[in-house]
Amino acid sequence: MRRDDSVSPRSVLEIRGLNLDFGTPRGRVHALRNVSFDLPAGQVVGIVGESGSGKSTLAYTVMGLLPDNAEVTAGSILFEGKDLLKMRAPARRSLLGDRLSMIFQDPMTALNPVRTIGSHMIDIQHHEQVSRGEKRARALEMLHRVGIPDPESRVGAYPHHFSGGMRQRVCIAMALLVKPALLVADEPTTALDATLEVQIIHLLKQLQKEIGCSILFVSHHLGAVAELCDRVVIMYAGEVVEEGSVRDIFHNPAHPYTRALLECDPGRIKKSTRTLPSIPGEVPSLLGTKLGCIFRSRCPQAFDRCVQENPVEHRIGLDQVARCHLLDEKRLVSA
Amino acid sequence: MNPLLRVKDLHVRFRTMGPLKALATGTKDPFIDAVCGVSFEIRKGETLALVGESGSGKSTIARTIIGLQRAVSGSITFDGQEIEDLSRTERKPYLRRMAMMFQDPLGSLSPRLTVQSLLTEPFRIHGLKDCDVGGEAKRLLRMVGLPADFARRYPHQLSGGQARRIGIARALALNPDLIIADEPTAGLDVSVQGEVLNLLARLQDELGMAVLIITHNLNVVRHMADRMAIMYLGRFVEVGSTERIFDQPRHPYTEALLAANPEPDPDAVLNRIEVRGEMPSLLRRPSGCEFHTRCRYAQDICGRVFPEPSSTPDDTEHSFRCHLPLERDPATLFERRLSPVDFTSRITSRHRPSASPRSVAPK
Repeated sequence: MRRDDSVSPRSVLEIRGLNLDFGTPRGRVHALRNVSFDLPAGQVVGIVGESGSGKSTLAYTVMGLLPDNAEVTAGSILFEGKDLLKMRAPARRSLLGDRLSMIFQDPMTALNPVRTIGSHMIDIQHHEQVSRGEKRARALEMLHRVGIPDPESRVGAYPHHFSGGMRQRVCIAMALLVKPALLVADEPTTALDATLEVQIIHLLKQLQKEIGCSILFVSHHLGAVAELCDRVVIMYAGEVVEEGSVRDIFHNPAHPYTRALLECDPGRIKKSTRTLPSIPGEVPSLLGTKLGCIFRSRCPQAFDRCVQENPVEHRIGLDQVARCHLLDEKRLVSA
Repeated sequence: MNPLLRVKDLHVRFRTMGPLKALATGTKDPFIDAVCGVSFEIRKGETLALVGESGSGKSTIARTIIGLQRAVSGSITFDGQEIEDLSRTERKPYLRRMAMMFQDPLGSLSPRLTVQSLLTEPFRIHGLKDCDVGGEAKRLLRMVGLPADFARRYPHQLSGGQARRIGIARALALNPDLIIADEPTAGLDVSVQGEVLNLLARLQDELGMAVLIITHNLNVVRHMADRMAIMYLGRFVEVGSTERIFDQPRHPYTEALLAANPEPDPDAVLNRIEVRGEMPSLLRRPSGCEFHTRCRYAQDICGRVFPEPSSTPDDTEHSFRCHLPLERDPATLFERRLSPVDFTSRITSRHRPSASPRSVAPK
């Protein structure tokens, strides 16, 4: 039985000023700092960044699957108007596999090897008050929808009987079987070949339209993000540096990091060249408190203000936001 | 000029079940052919890329060249000397002139050894005892652009990109003539990917070694390789110069692979050529052309007759295995990506023996 939400909020997910630390023997690692963004209902939002930028940590924070040494120090995560961080554990857990579901990065390890696909898919419907036969029928229908041939005979098979692409399809079928309001996809195509990646992205896009859910799509693959997402959030070293619609971000990036990241993608360079662009330097350590812009050590346009002050959000156009002092300078010049 | 490495009609098979089980189940042929009948050459200082999906046999070829896997038949000639039938010790002097970069950068570094001992292990293995170990490690670290104090670090203190650089440094230790790079950019961020490829390209220009790149990332191939070979189910389906294949792919599988590269542009044409289904199992190879089960242009003949390699008269280096090779017209390839109507007209223009269902539909 699905409760009907009388109030339909515009945003499925609102993250406000989220700060998260990991306690380590060397000190506290500030893995997420002042992260804020909205996920409008029925849209796909991509979270893009290098490894270590905190994009997966953010996905796991939304799902409440963090390890014990993680601590949220400030902020709120409003899901359908309710703060997930203030919710009691049982209430929060009952959201999982009901209103919230997730696809993991590695389809090889996301399924239990000693249980059949069918029992995975029946189990995930534990919130539904229907008979086992009905659940099985729904599972079969969903397997058919994600393109598994001959689901009747495959439903009794074990995960090792399936190839990587098929397993990821099973994972998608499981995640969407419960008709969630929000699907969190943590790099769902990274472990797959290019031809399968295309298939999986098309499948996600098509099912998202049919079911009408929102997707939080975590990826470092810019091509996949450009194809699937409506909005993009660019993260760097635990901070959101830029946010906007997919067109604005890809055609008119405002933050130097976004520009550098886009330039690095070898898919953009059509001419054969021996020297590819890269971002020199490394992601800074997140131990201890930092003053100034987090990207300044690798930024080609850094100036003294970047060392002294944390950049604030600057609005560009209608719904593009970037954190960079340069935008402030530009505004002063034009004013 | 003699090629540096020549592989001819290489066959590699893996056993799928024990002899007893094969007897019990009545399986006549308990093997799978991971590589069947592959031939290619690498000239000095050249870069060849092997491209294909997982399971197409690219890594098996690399492991066979380096001697980690025995071939069933076929020959591997390195600098004029047949090395496939040599014993382990006889092969060693040739192995010294080849080096391999393994796919998993951290997994290929022993966690108990320091970077210095990892880098100088090749010297120990090949019995070069009188070299200055510390000096060599410093030289190699400098070559790949890492500070000298990295010599004392352990693998767990390295990032993915740094571990990859150590992998390159170790491969370069003995000044090899050939480097085999198995997925050199797998698992790296785009920002680091460029750095690693630039490094490899710069070192190749400086030291003049040949490189065999194994990858499924076509963006890597485009910028690194002189020639490329597309593999499917253990066979080459198309071989040729990189430029040519990117401009005018002749095999439908190549076309699909090229199209499967999502463009980092939200306004790019989304009408992509999507390959149906997945790679068939090696246990049950399709009859005829092995790609016909997933090919959008497949006709009756494709399921019956195995295609022999053919090539165009003006470029004999460019060969492909297809009964109905794509037309050499880059304009239509581009247009077809723009509108599906062009696709239908193209099929008719290719004089198909029987009309495909899609071209019949509008009538």
